[in-house]
Amino acid sequence: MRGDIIGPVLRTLNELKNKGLLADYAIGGGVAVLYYAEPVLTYDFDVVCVFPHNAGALLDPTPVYRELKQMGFCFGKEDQIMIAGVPVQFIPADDGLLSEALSNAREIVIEDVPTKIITLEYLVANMLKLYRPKDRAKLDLIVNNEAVPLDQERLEQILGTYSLLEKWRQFYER
Amino acid sequence: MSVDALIREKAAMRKQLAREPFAKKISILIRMQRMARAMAQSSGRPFRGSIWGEQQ
Repeated sequence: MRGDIIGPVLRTLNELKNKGLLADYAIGGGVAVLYYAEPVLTYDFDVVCVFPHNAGALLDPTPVYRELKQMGFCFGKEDQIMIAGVPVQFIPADDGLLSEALSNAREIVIEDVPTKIITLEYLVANMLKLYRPKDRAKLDLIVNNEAVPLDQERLEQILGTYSLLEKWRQFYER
Repeated sequence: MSVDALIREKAAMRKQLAREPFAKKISILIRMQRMARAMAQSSGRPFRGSIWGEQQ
């Protein structure tokens, strides 16, 4: 079993945070789903983040990309950055749901590196909101696995806040 | 084995997989990425994903 894949990525992200280039971040997307549920095929390592220079409507990830380039990492496809052989995608927490998800992210340790991960209930809410085919496939994996620790009460609170309860009902009753 | 028994077995396997340590899940993910690449190559399709930890 390889245990040196995610650690270098997380150490780099923590370094960016310590340098003030990332205000905050948490693991999201397929890797977060994999953390709570069964392994699911994904190629991106999604990082939900807040850049420190995005006061108001301005969003500027440039300093992060510049620093990563100086650290020797290269750009992958689209806006991915290859960090230690893993394509990392920065997803700005620029709406209410993602911003709240990041604020409520859970602190964990992976490969001896402290980090944060979006909680399962916020992941479900965001996938329900996006509702692309790949989101629906992941929702199926979560809903149909009794070992996945989904807090229904907490989920319904979040879904209620973001007007997603009806969509959830429709998904659940398909 | 009946269909019901197969479904029960698969559900049990998925529950077990969900409970595996994160590091093991990541190693399974990388195997899945390699399988996806092998399937694309064997059918002559371009592989648009990546294998984590491999030099690009």
